[in-house]
Formats: sequence, structure tokens, C-alpha cells
Amino acid sequence: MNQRFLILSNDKSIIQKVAEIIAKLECGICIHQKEFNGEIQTLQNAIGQYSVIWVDLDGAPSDMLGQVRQVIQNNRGKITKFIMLKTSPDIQDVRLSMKSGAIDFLEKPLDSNIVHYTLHELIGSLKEQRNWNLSLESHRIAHLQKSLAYDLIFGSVKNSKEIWDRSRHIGLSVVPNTAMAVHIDDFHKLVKNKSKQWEQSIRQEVMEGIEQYLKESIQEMLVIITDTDKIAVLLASRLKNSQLEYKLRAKELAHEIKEYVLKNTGYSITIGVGNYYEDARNLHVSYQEAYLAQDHKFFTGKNTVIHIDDIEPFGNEEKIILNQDIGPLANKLSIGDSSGVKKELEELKKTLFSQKNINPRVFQLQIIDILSTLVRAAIQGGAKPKDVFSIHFQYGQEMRNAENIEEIRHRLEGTIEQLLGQVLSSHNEQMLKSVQKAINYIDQHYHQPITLEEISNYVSLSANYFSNMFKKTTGYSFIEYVAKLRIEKAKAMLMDLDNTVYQIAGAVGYSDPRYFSRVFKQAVGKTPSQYRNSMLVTKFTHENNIG
Amino acid sequence: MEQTIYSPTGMELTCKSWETEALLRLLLNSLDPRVAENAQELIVYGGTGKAARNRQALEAIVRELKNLEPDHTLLIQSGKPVATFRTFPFFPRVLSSAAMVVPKWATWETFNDLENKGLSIYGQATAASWAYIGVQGILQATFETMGAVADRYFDGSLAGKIVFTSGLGGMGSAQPLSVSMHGGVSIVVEADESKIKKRLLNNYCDVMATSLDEAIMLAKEAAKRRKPYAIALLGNACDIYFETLQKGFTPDIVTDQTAAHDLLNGYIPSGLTLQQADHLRIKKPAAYLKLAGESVAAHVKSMVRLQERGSIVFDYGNNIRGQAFEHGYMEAFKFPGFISEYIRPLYCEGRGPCRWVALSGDPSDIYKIDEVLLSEFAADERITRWIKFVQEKIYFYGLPARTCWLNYKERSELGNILNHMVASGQLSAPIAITRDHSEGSTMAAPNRETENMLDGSDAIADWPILNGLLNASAGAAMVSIQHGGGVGIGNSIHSGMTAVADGTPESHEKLKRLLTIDPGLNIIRHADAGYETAESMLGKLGIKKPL
Repeated sequence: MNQRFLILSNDKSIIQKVAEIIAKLECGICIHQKEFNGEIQTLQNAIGQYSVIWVDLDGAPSDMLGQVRQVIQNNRGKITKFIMLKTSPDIQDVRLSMKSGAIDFLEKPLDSNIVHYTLHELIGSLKEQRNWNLSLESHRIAHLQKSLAYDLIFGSVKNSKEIWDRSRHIGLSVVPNTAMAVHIDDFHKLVKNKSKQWEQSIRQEVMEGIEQYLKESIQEMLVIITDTDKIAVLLASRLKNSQLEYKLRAKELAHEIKEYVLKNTGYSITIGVGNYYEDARNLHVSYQEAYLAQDHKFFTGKNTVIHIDDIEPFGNEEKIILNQDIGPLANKLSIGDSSGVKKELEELKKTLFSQKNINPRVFQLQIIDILSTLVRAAIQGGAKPKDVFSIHFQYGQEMRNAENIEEIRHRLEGTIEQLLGQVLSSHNEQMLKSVQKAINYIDQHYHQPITLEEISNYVSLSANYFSNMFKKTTGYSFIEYVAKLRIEKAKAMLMDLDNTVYQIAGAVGYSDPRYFSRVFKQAVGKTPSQYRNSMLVTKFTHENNIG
Repeated sequence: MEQTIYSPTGMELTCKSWETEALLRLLLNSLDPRVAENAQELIVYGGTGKAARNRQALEAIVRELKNLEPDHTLLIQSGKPVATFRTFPFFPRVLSSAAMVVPKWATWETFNDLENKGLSIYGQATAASWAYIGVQGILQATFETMGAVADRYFDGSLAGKIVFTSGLGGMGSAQPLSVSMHGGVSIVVEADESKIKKRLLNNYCDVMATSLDEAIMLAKEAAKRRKPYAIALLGNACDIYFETLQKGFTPDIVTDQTAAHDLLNGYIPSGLTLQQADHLRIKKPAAYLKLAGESVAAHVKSMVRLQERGSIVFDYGNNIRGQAFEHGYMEAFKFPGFISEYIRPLYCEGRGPCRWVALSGDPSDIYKIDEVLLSEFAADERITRWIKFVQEKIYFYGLPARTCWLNYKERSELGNILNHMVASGQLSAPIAITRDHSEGSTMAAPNRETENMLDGSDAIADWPILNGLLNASAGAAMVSIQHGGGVGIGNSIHSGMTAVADGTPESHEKLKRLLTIDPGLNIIRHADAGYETAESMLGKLGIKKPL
């Protein structure tokens, strides 16, 4: 344990007694003795060099005791501890000494049992302090490791010697030269509705998995968390002949890390690997490359290893999807045309998802923009703004967390389906209004020729849609309904004998009386004249009965 | 793919002594893929500068070194091990000669034939002497030149001054860093955008400008605030220099470090894009050379005009003046070369390049030496400024190393300091001490190191031979004599030296003798040529020069 005790005393018997007990305890403590007549300098010089100083106050003049206590008080809580010794001490001495910070006060002549007990306690306390110091040291090293790693990946340390000194200080024999950016796959799904502590525990688990693997494979490295779902690994690769060899080895290692983490933690990770840079001052470039490489998981999918050299840089001239490209889809959506929406969506997907190496951020913006257009179309088509905006917001959230192009495709399809549903459900109310409007119109214009086109224009709907909707609402097709109305009107007119059948036909919209008669007979089972006669006979009989 | 070559590290010997272990580690380190330009082809740097003849020769050298007895000497003939003789423990373990050919046959054409037949290698300078340590070596020569300019014209600092130059290749990239080190602002013209991006990445440059106006605006703003700033300007050097003239902009310092010494492969003619240049130099090399010749003449003419306007202009050792002269611009030599103007005064003081390599592979060893030198040589501001800056800016590749220009006294003390630090256990393993070949007495090169010598001794090549022989006699672990380094075949003779501080008394004795030879002979060679500073240094330092 290599602890050193100093006994400041002119009494040789004390060292003898303490030495005997220490020998019995076999604790490896070395004891030194110096004469002491209350010299403050002697006491001060010894502080820091010994774990425990035993101060025999018998030799010190009484006027020096205050100064001795002051020195002890000034060093309270530091490395050296103090035990006071005195023959027949008064209670005030003991109280003041203990108050100054002395850990014990022993009365002379020393009692062996008391010394034994004191030493036993002291050794326990020193052991505890040593463990505490070791733990503090390991924390300190961990912090220094993190600090160096952050400085390297952000390029904020430029002095070669400083990098070397700091690397040595934290126990690295080689300065890191290759960076990896580890992404925890589906992190946002994993932590959905979970606490921050849960998030941290996932990152910690993955980080420890990586560290464990690297320890087992005797790799020197620094591992730090750099983002909510990202961890940086800085590796010290061994000497190779060429960049190609460095690349192959780094990829191989990344695959091994990926598999190890999956097997031991259950979490899937995607690793971007940067180039090897001998000069650690360029490690920030390697990390930027690694980060960019892992961004390509957007196209490659999760649970992969991507080296910066294996990817095409994201293009600067992305294909711009204009409003006019979205137009047909938006139109179909606004009228709730399901089959039309399906067809146009397929066309749009062909254009959108055929883009290669587009920057994921730009791609996401494009999708958000498209969705905004479709949201407007849905509102135009009658969907309730409140519901549609809620869908839009939710999609925006999901889009930000989407990790690859497949997820975006899937979510886009789902969202458009939701928007269409909103339009169609809003059409139930809308439909009644339109049909009502059409019926009013027919009521006012049944005496004129009315076409389906004319009336669908009047209610601003397509002929087909209107026709379907009309039948769905009224139970009659448009033609049947108009015919029915005209027959009813004709029936009423036939009761007035001043109207000829010819006149009635014209008045209800039939230019050809013979056609009118045919239609009338088909609907009522009698010609208009037969109907009039039958109705008149009934009426006459009824009048007579009354008279 | 061949096996990766790299140096062993740590304390475990793979050879029979630290002397041979050091040489083995230096050889393998110079072929480490992080250090060498093309390790697979055994090319270390500088075009085709090789460390060994071929793979078979490399393996044989490694085998021989591992088995070499501490009193044997291995002979290397142009990268091939040819003999082992028993000598003495105090004698070198390796003697090497590279690219030496009889003067009459010293042309590129003949040499290329010999190399193609497998009879020789182009050893550049530190490639064949296994002393290459990467960009740091180049950096300090540029740093020293900029420092000498600052001392002579601007009170020791380039703060608020604008340096206008070109070339961001292996050699040229040291320029912006060196200017920044002296507090100045640099505009460096480079035609290749990928090279600019590389320099931005390793922080040698701060910003890229795409027009001269932008570069001038940025430079003036930074100069006004006296803020060091390195601007890489994308463009053709010849065109931009002319545009600078036209716009009436006069930089404080103008130079150039394009690869103008090789017009076909290293220089882009005015008006050609990089792709056009690549195409033309293969399809129509003669036409390419004609265009490049015209451009380089216009390029130098602009430099001369800027000199007339008040800029300080010098040739940075790429023979741009010679090329312009050869292509018809007769005033090309109106501005001086950098060695004769700024570096030679340092040679006369005995100051020159020295480098040491931590055989442990542990950067901490180099940093510990830095601390001692900062304390021991605190009075030499040049060393303090260099070490502090290089500690921040330079990252170690392969075996950690430090290069530093030291004077006679400092170099004589260096051996003692290093050997003591190894012996006392402050360093974790022995240290290899070596140097660049580009020094006053170690390289005879009439177009660079020995240009315009006072006594006309530019082409005298006895000095590097004497230097090599003397180093071999005074305890060096390896001595090499070479031809053609830096300025090409036919243009230079030079020698290299490596010693080892292994903490033993023998090593102490060797270093005590050895490390005064280079600076001492430097002073003697310049005193002999009539340089007053060198003559005065002889007396001050007590260096014996009989005549």
C-alpha cells in the first residue's frame, strides 16, 4: 500500500510502539520520525509527503499550539491526516484539535490497544480513500478521453505535440487515424413515448457494446456520443501499404462491430466509415466523411456498413418536382376520384423514387412540398382543414424521423390514402347539398330539355360523378328522376280539361306528344287520355255522391 | 502486393548492436509508406531517389545488417550490398557510394542507361544514405532562408510583409508554412487545384483564392493587421506573375518553387490547362518544351521587372534562371540564388542542418529532447522559434524525428546531450543522428550550394570527399558518397553521415569527435574560399587550418 507515516516527537518510545503494532498488522506502512519542539516549518514541510503525521504536542511550547492547529486547519480535507499526542491533555486541547481537523487525539503514554485500534481504523480509512482516488482517476481519464475525442472530431486541436501528450495521458500508444459514425437504426421508433433516461440507456448500451468489442479485439479507440442517435468511434489503425488496405480493414472491423452489437445488445446499427488520415489533425475530415457515408443508409437501408469511398456524392442538381407535375394527382384528389388518385400516384412515384443520390434532406423537403399541394387540394375537395392539417403535421413528424426511402414511400402512400378518405367522407354532406341543388334546378326547368352535362356543370361536378352521386342519393338515375317529375307534373295538368294532351306534353318538356304518351303509358300503365278519363270518372262519381 | 515496409520500434534489438540496428531502422523507415513517395518501387523522394537497388538487394541489406558483427563493415554499391569486411569497432558499420560515374560520362543519358541495366541507382541525397525523414527536412531549409531574408531586410520578422511565390508540390509546400512561421503573408500560385486542397487539408495554407485581385486584397488586409496568412492562388505562375506586373502590385519578396528544373514534367506553360499539358507532353514533347521554354523566359522576365520595382527576388534552387537564360532571356541572372545570398552566411558560421531520429518510435523521446534543447540553447532564438513552431505544425510520420539547424558549438554539445539522455534512461531507446547533404562542405554543386564562390571554386568537389573520409575516420556509423542529388546528374557531388547515441562511453567518444566535423569543415571550406566570417570563426572556435 506504500503509505508513509511521520511521527513528530522527541519521544523514541512512541515510534517503537507504533512500529511494533504496524509490523503485526503487516500493512506495509513505513514510519519516519523527526524531532519536534513546535517548529511550524518542520510541520509544514512534511505536509503532502506523508499520509499521516503524528504530532506530539508535549515538545511544543504552549504558545505554539494555536499555530500548530492553524496549520492543521489549513490542510483539512487534503492528502495528509493528523493525529495529536499529549500527556494528560485537557479537554479544551482535545476539543480544539479535533475541531481543527485532527482525526484523533491520543493520550500519552500510549496504550497499545488504543494504538492498535487507531491504526486499524486508519488503515481502513486510507484504503477507502485510495479506492476513491482510483475511481476518481478513472473518471478523470474518461473525461479526458471524451474531451480529446470531441476536440479531434471537431478539429479544434491543431497542435501536434498537444495531441500526442493528451493521447499518452489517457493511455493511447497510437493517435487515432480513422473515424466511424455509428447510427442506431430506428432510434426514433425505439424511443417513441419513452423517457429521456430510456433514450440514454439505449445509447449507453450500444456504446458499451462497441467498447467491449474493441477491447476484446485489442483495438485502441475512443468512443463518444455525438448525437441523439449517433456515436463516433475513433480508431488507431495499424500501418498498411495503401489507402485501399486501410479501407478494407476498417470496413471489416465495422462489420464485426455491427454484428457484435446486434448479437450482444439486440440493437441494429448502421456504420459510416471515413478515410484513414495519418495526421490526427485531419480526423475531423474522416468523421465528416463517416457521417456523410452513414447518411447514405437512406438509400441502402439499415444494418449496413458504408465506406465514404463506396458512395457517389449527393448530387447538387436534384430533379425539381414542379406543381404542374403534381396537378393531375391534386385534381383527382380534390374530386375524390379514388381510381384516378391511384393511377396518378403511381406516375408520381415513378418520377420521385427514381431519383438517385439525392440529398435526403432535399428529398424530404420535396416530399413535404408535394404534400402541401395535396393538402390544399383535399381542402378544396371539401375535406375539413382541421383534420387535414393534423394529417399533414403527423406526416411531417414522421418524415423527419424516416431513415430510408422505403419508409418515406410507404408513409407517403398512407398519407395520400388518408387525405382521400377525408375528401370522400366530406363528400357525404357535400353530396346532399349538390343533389338538393340539382333537384331544385330540375324543378324549375323540367319543362325545358335538361341534359346530364348541363346539370352537372350547374353543380360543378363531373357528369359521371354527379350521375353516380345522384343515383346513390335519390335512388333514381338522373333520367329516371326527370321523367318521373315530368309525369307527376303532367298528371296534375291532365286534371284540368282546358289543357290538351298536346299542350301538356310541351309544358312538361316533351316536344313530341307521341313520345310523351309512350313514356306516360310506360310509367303509369295508361295513356294520358285514358288516365284523364279514369280520373274524371272517379271525380264525377265522387261529386255526385256528395251531391 | 508486396509486404508493407516499416521500421521496428522499441528497445528490442533485431541486430547485434545499436549501431547496425539504427541503420536498419533508418533504412526501413525511409521506405515506410507514410514517409516514402513510392515505397513499393523503393523510391523515397525527389523523382527517382531510391534507398536500395531492388527488392532482392533490400532483403540482402536487411539480412546483412541483422548479422553484422560490431567490428565489421558492410559496403553498399549504389543500393546493392557487395561486401562485408572485418574492420574496427570505431569504424563505420556501413560505407556507401551511390550514382558515382566517371565525370566524362556524368550525363543523364548515360546514367539512365546504366540504371536501366540495373548497375546503379539515382540516390538523390538522403534517399541512398537512409536519412530521409519527410517534409520536416525541407521545411527548415525554407524556414532558414525566410529567416535570413527577414534578418537582413525586415528586422528579423516578416510580419506585415507579403511574399509572392509559386509551387505547392513536395518542395514548394514548405513555403507558405515557413512564411507564416516568420509572421508574414504569402501568396503561392499553383495550377493544380488538387494540390491546393491537399495543402488546405494539412493546414499549410489558410485559404484558396481564384483571382489575383482576391489574393491581393486578402494579402493586403492580413499584412495590414500583421497577421500570418497563407493564400494559395489557383492559376498559371507565368500568367499570374505577368498580371501582377500589369496591376502594379509590388510584393515585398518574390521567388518561385515550381519544378522548373524539369520543364517537361514539372512546369505548365502559359495558357495550357492541366489536362492539355498532360496530353501535349506525351503526344508532342518537343512542342511542349518549346512552349514551356517561352513561358519560363517570360516568367523570369516578370520576376526581374518586379525586382526593378523594389521587390526582393531570389532563385529558390529550381534553376529557373538557368532555364530562362537557355531559352533566350539574357538578363535571367539579374537576381541571385538563395544559397549564395542567404544560406552561405550561415554556412560560414558553421550553422547547418542536423537531424535526430527516435529509434524507439516514441514521439515522447523527441519532445523530451526538444525540452532539453529549449533549455540548453535558450539563447538561440532561432532554435526556440523553430522548435515551438514545428512542435505545433509537424506531425510525425514513421519514426519520430526532429531536424534543426545548429551552429558549431551547439552541434558539438548535441552529441553529449543525447548520449547522456539515453544513458540516464530519460529516453526510451538510442537516438540516430544524421543530416541533409545540402551543406557548405558536404555538397559541391555549382548551380546551388557552391554557386558564385568568392574564389571561383564552384566546381571543386574535393570537400565532400574529404568530409566523407573524415566522418568515416571519426566514428560515424554510416558514411555515403554520392553524385547528382538535388540538382541532377553531372551537377553535384555530396556526402552523408549517420551516427548513433546509444548511451555508451564509446558512443560519447565518437560523437565528441564526429559532430564538430561537419560544421568545422564548413567553416574551413568557406574560409579557404575567402569568406571573412568563416575566417574569423576559425580563430573564435580554435579550428586548425594550416594554410
